[in-house]
Amino acid sequence: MGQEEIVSSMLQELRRGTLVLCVLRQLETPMYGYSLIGVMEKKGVRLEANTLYPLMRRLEGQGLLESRWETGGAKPRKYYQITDEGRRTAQRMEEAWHDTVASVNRFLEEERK
Amino acid sequence: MSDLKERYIYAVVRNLPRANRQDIERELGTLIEDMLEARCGGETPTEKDLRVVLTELGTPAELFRKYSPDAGKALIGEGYYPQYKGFLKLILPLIAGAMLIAHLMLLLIGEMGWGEALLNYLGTTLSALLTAFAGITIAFAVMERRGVRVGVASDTIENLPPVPKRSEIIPRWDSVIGLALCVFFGLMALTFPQLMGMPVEVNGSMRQIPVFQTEVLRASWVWIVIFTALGLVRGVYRLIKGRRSWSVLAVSLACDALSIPVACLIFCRDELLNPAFRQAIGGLLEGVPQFVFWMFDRFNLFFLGIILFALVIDMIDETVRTLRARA
Repeated sequence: MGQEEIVSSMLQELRRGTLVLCVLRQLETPMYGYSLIGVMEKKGVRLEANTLYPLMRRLEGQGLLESRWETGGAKPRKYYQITDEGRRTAQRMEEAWHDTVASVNRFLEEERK
Repeated sequence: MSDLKERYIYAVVRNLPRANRQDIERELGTLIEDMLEARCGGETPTEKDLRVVLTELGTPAELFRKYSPDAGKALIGEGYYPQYKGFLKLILPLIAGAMLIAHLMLLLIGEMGWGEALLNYLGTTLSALLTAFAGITIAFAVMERRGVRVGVASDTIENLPPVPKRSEIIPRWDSVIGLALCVFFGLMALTFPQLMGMPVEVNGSMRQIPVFQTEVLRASWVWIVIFTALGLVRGVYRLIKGRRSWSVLAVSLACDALSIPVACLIFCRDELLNPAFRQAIGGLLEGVPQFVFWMFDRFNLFFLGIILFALVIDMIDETVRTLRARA
């Protein structure tokens, strides 16, 4: 495995958990998958379609999201939205995220001195 | 162009669970259209655009893995794989070895010639090895699926067992010998019951007279399989645990206790003893003490007695050793 590949796989590991939190928070408003990719990208969070769609199905299976098909428009689209269980999970994840960021930043600051 | 899209979607969903297939199919279809629209603006997408979009989505195999609820699952997972491999490495050579010994004995007693023995050895050994391989694989797959964790590194630091004392350790050879005897008994009784016999001179030449009527013994094959399986369960559990514990004692006692009625069902039948053996032995036993005569005249019951004695001794031995080790 080359250096680039190693770094890329480590960054992927770093991003994996944070994506779930971002997706859950963003889906307070019902959205279909591709529009979610666009909105997230504008906010600086890059998502790949082949990761997002299976992820949303997994979160739905875990009861954190719910979905419904909208067939009234030009194309049939599946809209996803966060559930109460998802909201509680996102809340706990957000707290853990802030704690982690604070402690890792503190650690890095210490190391830099 | 739409043909390529349909083929791509079909390749992704064809092995996914039926219940989700249609939904994922629709979802992927819309996603690909959205991606094409974003790429081409108002223009009509070409086949090249579709290929770019599909490449961005990944190969059908990659996408299938991401959608699959069974991703990362295995028939025998990494927790059990070393044990599974270890059992195959132990049991399969035991079977091949037991079959080799049995065939050498068949050669020695003149039951088969070299050519026949070789062909018979290859055929029966292959069949026995495949059966054992399937049995071990199924047993481990069931344990994996049911989440039974025996002898697997713990997922938690709670309730970790203490490091075993020297007296608690069950030597590996002890369990292996038990398993080897069990395999040998099962194979002998099921495939070559005629090997359990004695050479007797008939009309000036030596002939092997089987102790038991082979057809009668083979008719009890269900009980022989159960008897062998109980021995295997006991041996395998001891081997996996590797230490004397209450659970090992319980399994050993249960298997031994259940083996007693099963052995009785196999060997208590009067018609089991070969009349030719009784007749041949009758001539040799003239003038011997009454109990020796009875021993051979009712050899099936004598044989059963030896088995029951061994089982009872094993139960006492296991209990005493476990009590001492845990004291």
